[in-house]
Amino acid sequence: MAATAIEPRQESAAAATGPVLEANNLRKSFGGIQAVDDVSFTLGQREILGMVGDNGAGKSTLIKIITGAYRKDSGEVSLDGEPVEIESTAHARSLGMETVYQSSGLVEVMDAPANLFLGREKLKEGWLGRYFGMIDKRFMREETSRLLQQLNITVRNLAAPVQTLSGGQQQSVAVGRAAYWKGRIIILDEPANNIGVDQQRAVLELVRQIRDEHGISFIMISHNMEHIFQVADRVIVMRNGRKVGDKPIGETTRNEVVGLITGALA
Amino acid sequence: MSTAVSPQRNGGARDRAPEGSWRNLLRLHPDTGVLLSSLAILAVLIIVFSFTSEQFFSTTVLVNILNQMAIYIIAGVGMTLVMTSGGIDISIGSIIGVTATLMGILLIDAGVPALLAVLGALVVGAICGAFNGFLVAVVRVPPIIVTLGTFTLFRGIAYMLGEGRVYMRFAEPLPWLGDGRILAVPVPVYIALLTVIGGQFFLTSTRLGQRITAVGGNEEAARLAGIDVVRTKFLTYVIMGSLAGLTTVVIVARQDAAQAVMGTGIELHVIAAVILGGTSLFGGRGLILGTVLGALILGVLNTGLLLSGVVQFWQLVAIGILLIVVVALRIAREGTEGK
Amino acid sequence: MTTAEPDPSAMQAVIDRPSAKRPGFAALWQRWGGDHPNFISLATTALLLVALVIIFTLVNERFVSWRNITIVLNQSASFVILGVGMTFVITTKGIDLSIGAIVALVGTLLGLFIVTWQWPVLPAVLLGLLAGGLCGAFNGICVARFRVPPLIVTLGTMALFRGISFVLLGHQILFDFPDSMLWLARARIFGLSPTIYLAILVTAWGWFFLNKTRTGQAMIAVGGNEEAARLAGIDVARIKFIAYTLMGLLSALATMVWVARMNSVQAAMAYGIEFHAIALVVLGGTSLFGGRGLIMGSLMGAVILGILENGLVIVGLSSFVQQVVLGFIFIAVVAFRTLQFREGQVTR
Ligand SMILES: Nc1ncnc2c1ncn2[C@@H]1O[C@H](COP(=O)(O)OP(=O)(O)O)[C@@H](O)[C@H]1O
Ligand SMILES: [Mg+2]
Repeated sequence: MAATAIEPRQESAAAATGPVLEANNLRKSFGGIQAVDDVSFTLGQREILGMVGDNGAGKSTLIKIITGAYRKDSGEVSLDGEPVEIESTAHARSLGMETVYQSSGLVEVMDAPANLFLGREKLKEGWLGRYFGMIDKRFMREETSRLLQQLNITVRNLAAPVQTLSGGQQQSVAVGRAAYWKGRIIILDEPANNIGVDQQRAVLELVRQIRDEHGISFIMISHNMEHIFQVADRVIVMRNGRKVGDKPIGETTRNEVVGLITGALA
Repeated sequence: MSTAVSPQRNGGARDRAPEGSWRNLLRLHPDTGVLLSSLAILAVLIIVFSFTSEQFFSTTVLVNILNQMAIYIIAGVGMTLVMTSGGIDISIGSIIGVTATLMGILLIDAGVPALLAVLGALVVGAICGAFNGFLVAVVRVPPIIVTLGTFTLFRGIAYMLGEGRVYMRFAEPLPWLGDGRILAVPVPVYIALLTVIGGQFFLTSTRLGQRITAVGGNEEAARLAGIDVVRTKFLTYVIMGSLAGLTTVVIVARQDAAQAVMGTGIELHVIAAVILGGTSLFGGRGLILGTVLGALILGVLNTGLLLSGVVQFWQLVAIGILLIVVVALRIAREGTEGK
Repeated sequence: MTTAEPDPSAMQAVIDRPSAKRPGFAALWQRWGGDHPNFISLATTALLLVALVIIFTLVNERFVSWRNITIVLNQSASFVILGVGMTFVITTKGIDLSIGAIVALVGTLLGLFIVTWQWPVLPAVLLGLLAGGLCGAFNGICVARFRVPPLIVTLGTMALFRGISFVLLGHQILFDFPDSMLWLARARIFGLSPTIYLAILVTAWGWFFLNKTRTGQAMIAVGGNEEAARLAGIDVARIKFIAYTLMGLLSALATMVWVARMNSVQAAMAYGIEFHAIALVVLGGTSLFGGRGLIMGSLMGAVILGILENGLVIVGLSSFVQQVVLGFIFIAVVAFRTLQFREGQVTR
């Protein structure tokens, strides 16, 4: 392996230009609440798709049914034009969908390497790994340090619990983890929530960097209009579980998007 | 490559780690501070008792303490795992009751070889643990409630099996496991040592161990990262159960007797040892070596008070106070970290 | 709290919702049950109670004799009292494992005061109540002020209070209390012992306190969502402190009943009663996950446990088998209640 933790995604640059992800007529209800109501959208190659909407509009639920965290009531999801039935978060990941959830993406009391390899720990070669499930800590540490270096994240002490890192650094570790595991689609649920303004910018910059250098597509949920207009190529607007807007960023304005969110323009 | 992502420079004051070189030193290994504080308590106790009792500071007494604490250490390794996963098991004393009775029946009534009886204790302990694990992991009843129930249930089963009998005088080599010595050190100490080494390796260096820590640290994050939380928790209680079985073996071997009442009240000492050792009350941080220190603190306290001529009953009082004070201090210092 | 102005978009969503299938009886029941969880829990507990009475009566008709009924009620009285306190504590999402030790300590003190030192009964009883309250307050301070988890605190004080009892009394058994102390269990008022009236009184007060007073409602809020309660201006620490202090006080009161019935005390007394107290609270439908306390449920839970113990003896089971049966019932009930709770969570 070269000196890079994330390998550039060669094939994606050369591949067809059809959408990587296509969702059709997704529905999900909780008891009486129709959280996601007949939503369809597409995500293009190397695209950063912004998703906005009020609290409770159904954004989180939408990505949770796409990533297998919730079971959908009806509808269809296709990857590269192939319909897929995603059964679990693990399954979604095996298909190249990595998610950075709104909260609880990291185990705060564990260190960065443990978090980077959470659930996908690298086992030692040979019998120690095979029969005793011994993990290769050194490999995990080196990979982490390489990844963080590559993403320009400075962590003084890799053995420190991630809760000692700043909020922005934690979020960067989470985003970096998604990239590290070769997600072809990375889904971010309010990645810049609850962190300082400077750090928000850093995380957004990281998103763009990963997209530019590695050709990965993003879905980014955000409350913050500025963030959307800074990095997104296209924006879709959710309201009361429905998709009420879907515009390339160049063809819309902040006012129009706000109008769609509040229903003033519906 | 741009330098835009450089949170170190951008870090808000809110996020910055407190300065001070010794703090940074401790920060290198986040567990060091906790272990040092346990070590300090132990040292203070040893020094105090060396003054209050002339016999206290001798190899015989110290080896004796180790020997007495072996059972708490063995069970404590299991309890450390359980508490690291964010749970607790107060049924271990009753599991010991069940497995002790079973060993008595196997050895005396059925006359099986010692090795088979030992295996039986381990397996039945694991089955008891699996019952706890099923209720905690699959049904998701809070661990304290589950094990409060099985605390009663298992003890009842032990009495039912034992019918008040006391099984005694087992054939060698079982008693040797209790009072034999290798190089002047009692066999139970070796058993405890092996358990500690295995437990330390398991918790810090194996995949399942890491996952137990992750589940205890942040269950939701672990689940989203694809960790099978149910399986992880379940296995934790199974391991606890089989280590309770191993504890039984040592107790039975040492007393050369087995009866249903064995293990009563042991959960207090074991949980106290784990907590005094610095394992987090909220899960996500388990210190096997800390548990050893915690058990030694209890042992030194017991023996020290005894040799200093204090009425035996004060030990309970001392353990209760120590437990609460140490936890309160730790919480005051760290906040409800990990919660 | 509802927001002042109605959200038009939310109303639109309701109107726009594609008309659901006609709700069947099961769905209606489920929805109604979702709105009246307390009633459902109380009803299931009551059903269990009735079923047990019927079963034991079929097995042995002696079971419903007046004599046996009073025996059951007398036996249950101290647990009814403990159950009220434990309901408070569990409602705040806490737990108290130290109550057996508190009973032992208060019992020990009563024994020393009345039997050994020959004090008059009244001041001894008052001091005993005070001691119980202080034990509870100690738990409360550790939980509320120092924020030590209740499990750890009460595990510690379980050792501490029991240890003090042993220090004071060793292995002695003190007995031969004066008649005025035994009055509570021995006297008869309309054929029932004062114990039973006391238990009823405590239950009525507990129900009123939890459901009709601000402090009681705050307990429910703290157990339901501590953070929200704090933000709403509730002094969470104070509420928790009160819950544990009341638990201690009620433990002391239960001790009076206990001593009156047994006419003896020792440091090892009341070992393991925390299991019974927690079991009856859970049987009664109080949520293990905090935020819901059913005093009347606990009352029925205590009577159910009393009936079970009495009934199993009449059926002729050994106390060991009884323990196994109780353990199994407890586990079955908590598993059932947990599944119920989890189901409610999804459709919340
Ligand atoms: N697990 C759940 N159980 C019940 N209702 C839920 C659940 N998750 C979300 N909802 C409801 O679905 C709606 C959409 O929520 P969500 O997708 O979280 O919105 P957003 O992320 O856009 O703020 C809300 O009304 C919310 O209350
Ligand atoms: Mg959301």
